[in-house]
Amino acid sequence: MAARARASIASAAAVLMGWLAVDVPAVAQAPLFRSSVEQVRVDVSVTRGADPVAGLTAAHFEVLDNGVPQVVDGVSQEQAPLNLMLVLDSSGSLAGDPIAALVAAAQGLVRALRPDDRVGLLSFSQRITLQVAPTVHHADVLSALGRLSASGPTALRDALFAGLQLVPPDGDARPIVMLFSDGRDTASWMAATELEGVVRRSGVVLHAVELLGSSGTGALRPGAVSNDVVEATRRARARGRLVGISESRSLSRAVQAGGGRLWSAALPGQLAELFAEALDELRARYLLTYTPQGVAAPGWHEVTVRLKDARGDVHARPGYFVP
Amino acid sequence: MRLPLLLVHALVTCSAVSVAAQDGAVLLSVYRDAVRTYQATQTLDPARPLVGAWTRDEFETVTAAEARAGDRERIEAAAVFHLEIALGMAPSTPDGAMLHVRLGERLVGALAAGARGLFGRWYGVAASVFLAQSDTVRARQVLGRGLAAAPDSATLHLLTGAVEEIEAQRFEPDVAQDSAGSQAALLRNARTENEGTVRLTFAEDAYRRALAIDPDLVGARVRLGRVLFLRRRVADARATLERARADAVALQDRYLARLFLAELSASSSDTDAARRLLDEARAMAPDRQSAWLALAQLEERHGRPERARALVVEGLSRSASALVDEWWHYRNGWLDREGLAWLRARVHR
Repeated sequence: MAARARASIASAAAVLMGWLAVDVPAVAQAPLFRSSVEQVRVDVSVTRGADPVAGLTAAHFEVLDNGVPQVVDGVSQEQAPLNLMLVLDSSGSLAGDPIAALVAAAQGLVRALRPDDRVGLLSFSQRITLQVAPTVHHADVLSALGRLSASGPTALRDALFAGLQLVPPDGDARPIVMLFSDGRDTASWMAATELEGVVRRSGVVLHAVELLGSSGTGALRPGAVSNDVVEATRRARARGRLVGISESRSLSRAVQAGGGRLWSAALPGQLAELFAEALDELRARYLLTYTPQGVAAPGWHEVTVRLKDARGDVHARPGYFVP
Repeated sequence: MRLPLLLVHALVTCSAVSVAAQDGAVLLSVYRDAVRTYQATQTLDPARPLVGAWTRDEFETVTAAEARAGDRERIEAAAVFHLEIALGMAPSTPDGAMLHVRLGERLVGALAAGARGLFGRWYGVAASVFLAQSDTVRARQVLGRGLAAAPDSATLHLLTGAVEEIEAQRFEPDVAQDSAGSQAALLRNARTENEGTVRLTFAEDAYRRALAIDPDLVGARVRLGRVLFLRRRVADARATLERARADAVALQDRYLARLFLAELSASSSDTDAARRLLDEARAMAPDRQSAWLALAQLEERHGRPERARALVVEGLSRSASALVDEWWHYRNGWLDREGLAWLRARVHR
């Protein structure tokens, strides 16, 4: 019985979700942690305004698995290296200043990574191009970023799908996709209705940075963004929050399903700051582990994470699936 | 001795007319040289310095003169010459491209009604110059004028359907808005979905007109099949796509027919058939990215993430230098290369 439960949970981890079950060597798909058995790992962000909240312990977290309270075995922060895939829009609407700002922002993020972090680069217009597979040789990514140019339509969903497949949740690193786009998908094979499910099943944390104002046709240029968007962004920034004013609702929901956050910029010049904020947030995330108790293994597990005796907004994947 | 004022005026006027006529003749001569150079070299490069700095008025003057002259061969060559210029300008200066399309239209318009076959080809290429840039607005304008000149052109009806279909996809409702649950969002999505459905109806009509004129136009049948699928008429879609697959000769038709049939099979839970069709598509065009991604997505959806990952890795590798994918053309428009080749062959010397 115990062996069966182990296999089920590990299978869920291998197939799915950022709720990652751990280390069952018998499972064909790679186990996620080697340090413990029958555990689910939850990658959680806690923020207050735009700032990550540090210093929390297991006593500050309440975890429910299908409504059943769980005992948090451990909490760690900033320990596991990142396995980061940058999925960057290089479609024609970014020609000119936006692509230059994007390249500079992404290069800034790569330079700020730690030596043991892995990073890869996938660019997309209508064609998806694996520029650099995830590697610790960060200079390769910096160099590839310098060669990016903008042209063509936008296959955002297909690119995100490919990016999620290329950072599978195996080993000790934390699998993360950082997506950047400025517009509506105009070229993907994948239907919009499928995106959220793909992200849910991937086991990868998804963050996105979106450049507002150019969805639909035409290129975004400074000054071309509507005053409403600029004003909404200004107000959001004044509140210390740049999340949740996206033009793309389906992207918002995908990010939510991926337990990550969506940063929105009104102008290309804001990208560098937002990429830096995103990396800070990645570093400040907590990894909670727990051993599921009192819940049946098969099926969808809705997981709720709340704070006790602490204030902040919690971002985490909404659950995991055990086939 | 003073000349009477009337005589002075008459002399000045005659002189101006003479200079203008002379200038016009020189311009026309240079223009004809440019077109002949294009015909002989089969490229615009050597002809460009001859007319590259011309104003709109100068082009208007010479095309009007050429149209009046009525030499069929010269007119056809000049009309294709302007198409080539438009093709080069469309990505960066669409207004300039449209000017040259209009100049070309003036020329083909001077041909006899018996040249309708040429009209269809010429307007099809002219519209696709814009369609290849996903510029459905200008493509639609050209198609409207083309269908007025050649209403029985199956190609123009097919392209009209493509314009409608591409625009329909821009009205894809934002699925997450539905879940947001606000009444305004639901209404907005309903309006958007309705607009998309209307466009698909127009596309279906256009494809059916194309097939009524030319039942062998497989490209129209492939696209009709997908429109029927999008409109949830699955049985009609399957029959249409199966016939298209059987009739298809050109790679683009064979490839898209399989892609669309695979999509239909997957939606009907016939995963094995979908896999088989996507395997066929990959085999016939291994450097096209879309079939690899479609199969990877199918596998991932059915709980085979390792297989999906392998397909993504190999698909991205094989398509790394591909410039063409029929799915891209279908989604965002394409240049009618076959029509352009036909026109070039007709005028090159």
